[in-house]
Order: sequence, then structure tokens, then C-alpha cells
Amino acid sequence: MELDINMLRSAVTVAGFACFVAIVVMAWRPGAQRAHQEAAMLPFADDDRAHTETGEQK
Amino acid sequence: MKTEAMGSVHGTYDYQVVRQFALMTVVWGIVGMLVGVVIAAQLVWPQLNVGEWFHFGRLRPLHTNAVIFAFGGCALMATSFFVVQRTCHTRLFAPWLASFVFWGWQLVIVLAAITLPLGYTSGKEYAELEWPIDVLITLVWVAYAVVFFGTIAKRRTSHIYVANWFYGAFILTVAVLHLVNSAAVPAGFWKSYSAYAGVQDAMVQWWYGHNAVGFFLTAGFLGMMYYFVPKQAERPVYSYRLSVVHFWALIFTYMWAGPHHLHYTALPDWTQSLGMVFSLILLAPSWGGMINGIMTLSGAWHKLRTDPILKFLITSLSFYGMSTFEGPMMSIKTVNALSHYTDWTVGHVHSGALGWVAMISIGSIYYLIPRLFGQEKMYSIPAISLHFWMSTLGVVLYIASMWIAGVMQGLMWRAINDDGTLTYTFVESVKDSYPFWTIRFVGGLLFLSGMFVMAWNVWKTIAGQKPYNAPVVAPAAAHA
Repeated sequence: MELDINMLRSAVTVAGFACFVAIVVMAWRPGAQRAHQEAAMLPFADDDRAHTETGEQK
Repeated sequence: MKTEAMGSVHGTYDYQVVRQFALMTVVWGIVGMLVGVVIAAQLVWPQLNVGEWFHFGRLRPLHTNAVIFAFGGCALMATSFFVVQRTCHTRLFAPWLASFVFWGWQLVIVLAAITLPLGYTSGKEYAELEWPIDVLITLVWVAYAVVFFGTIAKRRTSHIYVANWFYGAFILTVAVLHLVNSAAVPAGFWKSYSAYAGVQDAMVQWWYGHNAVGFFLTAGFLGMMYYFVPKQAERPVYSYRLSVVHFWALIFTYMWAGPHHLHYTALPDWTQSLGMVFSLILLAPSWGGMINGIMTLSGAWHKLRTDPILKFLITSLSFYGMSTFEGPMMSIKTVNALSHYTDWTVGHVHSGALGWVAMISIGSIYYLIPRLFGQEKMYSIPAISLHFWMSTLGVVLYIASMWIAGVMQGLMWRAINDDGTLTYTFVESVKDSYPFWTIRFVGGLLFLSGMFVMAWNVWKTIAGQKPYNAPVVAPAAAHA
């Protein structure tokens, strides 16, 4: 088997696919749930409604 | 300012650049869609092609550049600068550079509006601008990337929210696409020749062209979806882990889909088939993302009845789903043999551009405007509702007429008599297209009119109001 540019191309494609499978496994592993829940709440971590002059929410 | 009673406050967010881009989104939306309506009218009434400067061939690239890069670009920059600050709980990195991004981008748009009607073009679709403007775009884009990623680097949260991943991918990929596809040898100040030749030039162009669709017109707007749909629906995204897989699947797949623009050309057959297969695979991440966005509303569907902003956002996702089903279907070689070069393609593009890109932008801008001027809501909610129905009816008229016209053209062009001669001359298909081009003109006019309703509503909301910059609250102070 010769190591040429086309071997490299195939290797990168396979590595890319393996990388994607790893991402899917990482995303679905049970331990990720907590971090995901936290991340999903990020848009709600601060309220962007307008505030009045005294700082109260309208 | 205005933050005395708040705890743990660190100055205010940089809303100035967000305000500027948000307002220009409305302005450039009207300009870009107006040019679109003009060229639609030119097809119905050819005598409207007045002189060389205002000819269809000169105005068409002006329309595409104005709606994609001026309207869409301003919407992306406004929302990304807003979202990255709010989800990272920090001010923008180098606000002065953000200001350069705004004025530089406006200069690019004005230069495009001058040079394209004058006929200065590199002839590459969606990349028509000549090399001096390309250099300016590069400078502005690098500044944009520095501000965006700089802000992420100084975030005060541990996670980088998924919307920022999409915005970040959009910024990085467009930088790469622009640099590679715009590589050219200048031959004077307003003339250049592509660095590539023949079919390789075509492949580079459509690698750029389809990824402009995938990253400029999709990834960036998905960033919008992942922030503004949850915010407006007041519930977190349906599945965060699906959003992670959605992101990477989209990134890994889109890059390969470009060859479907070159079916049955000099491009090698295997490359065409590869493009087709990856376009079909793209259906999965596209629909994964769409379902994730729509299902965010589960348990709160009743909000759709009363909230026209949510109607804009969710309807945009329906059009996203429709056009990302239609796209892979059209990439199948045998289907493409019928659809390519016909108005079906034009209808498909507008299903995405008006239905998805414009409607999610409009919904997001309606969300932003009151918040940027210290108001609780838009001046008129019924006017948003009116705008929504005008837009929806406009898109439906547009795409339905283009489907019929496109399939008709495709069938007429391939019809052959028993003796092998063509059944129809080309001009017969043109003649039969007139009724549908008229319906398309009406649909486009309706969509444009909706933008004027929006402009009035925005004006009434902000007139006499002071710009408002919200306080930066530490993430720890976030209320549960």
C-alpha cells in the first residue's frame, strides 16, 4: 500500500467521520445531561426587558 | 446609566452597534426587496429596462447582493453582537472595532450599489464585487471576527451557548469562502481575472456559492433561531444535545454539497454524484435543527395564537423545513435535469430567502427594537400581525407561481417530436411564463409592502425615545 496524497485524503475523511461519531457519543452520554441543561438555560440567565430609571423592571 | 438599584452590575452592554445594524436591516431590506420587485416587473414589462444602468442584467446582482449581504448581513451582525454579549454576560471586546465593522460594512454596501449598475463585476454569482471591494470586505470581516471571538474569550460563563457556535461557524467559514473564491489577478482597478481556470473555477465558485447558502444564509440564521425562539417562547430549546449534533452534522456535511450546482456539466461525474449524495444527507441535520426549533414551543403552542413575533419565527422554521426538503430533492440528478435553469430554482431560493431568512430576521428585529430603546414592546402589535400575513401570502404566491412556471419550462424545453425535433421554441416557454411572472411580481410586491408596515412600526416605536443600554449582570446574579 502506497502512502500518497489520495491515501491522506481518505484518511482525513475517515478521521472526520470518526470525529463526528465521537461527538454524537459525547452528546448522548448520560453525564452530559447536566451541562446541557445548564447551557440551555443561558439565554434566561439574565432578563433583557427594559428597566425604568430606578432600575425596576417595567 | 439607569442601573443604581441593580446588584452586581458591571457597566452596560454595547447596544449602539446593535441599534445601528438593527435599523439598517429594515432600511436595506426595503432597498434590496424594492430592487427585487423592480426586476420582477422588468420580466413582465420588458420596456422597464431603461438604459444600460437600470437593465435587468445590472440590477439582478444588485438585488441579490443587497438582500443577502446588506439586509441579511446587517440582521446577522445586529443579532450576533446582541446574543454574544447577553449569553456571555460581558460587553463587546473592542467596541471601537465593532463601530468600524458597522461603517465599513455600510461602505461595502454603498460601493456595491454604485459599481454593480455601472457594470463592474467579476461575474461570480453572489461574489460579483470587484477586487478593491473584496479587500475592504476582508478587512471588515477580520474586524468582525476579532470582536465576536474576543467577546467569547472574555465571557463570564463556563459554557458557550449554542447560538454562538452557529454565529462563530458562520463568521469563520465565510472568511475562508470569501478569501478562496475571490482570489484573482487584478487587471486595473475595476477589473480582475479569477485565479482559477475552467471547470476548477466553476467548482470553486459553487463550493463558495453553496456554502454561502449553508453558512451565510443558514448557520448564522440558525444562531438567531437558537436564541430568539427560546426567548420569545420563554422556554429553553427542546433538546440541547440535539443542537450539538445538529451543529456538527451541518458543519461536516454542507462543505460537500456544492457540485449539485454543476450537474451535467464538464465537472467529473463522480464529483456530481458526491455532491448529490451529500445534499441528500443534508436533509437529516436540516430537519433535526428545524424540529429542535419548532418543538421548543411544545407545551406553549397557544402562544402562537396571540404572538405575531412567534408566528414569524415559527413560520420561518416551516419554510426552512420545506426548502431543505426541496433542496436535496432538486439535487438528485434526474430531478435536476428537469429543474435546472428554470424558475423552479428561483422559487426554491426564495422559499429559503423570504420564508426562512427574511422571516426569522424580521421576527428577531421585532424582538430587538423595543429592547434597544427602553420600550416594553413594539408600538403596534396588530401591525406586526398584518406584516406577518402580508409576508406569508407574498411568499406563497411567489413560490407557487415559480413552481408552476419552472416545471412548465422544464417540460417544454425537453419535449421532443417523433422526428426528434424540439416541440417548442424557447420563446414559446417565455411567452407562457408571463402569467406566472405577474403572480410572482404581486407576491414580491406584497412582501415588500410588509416591510413598509415594519418601517412605520419601528419608527413609531423609537421616535422620541432615548437609546437604551441594559446593565451587564454577573451570571451568578441570574435569577432562577
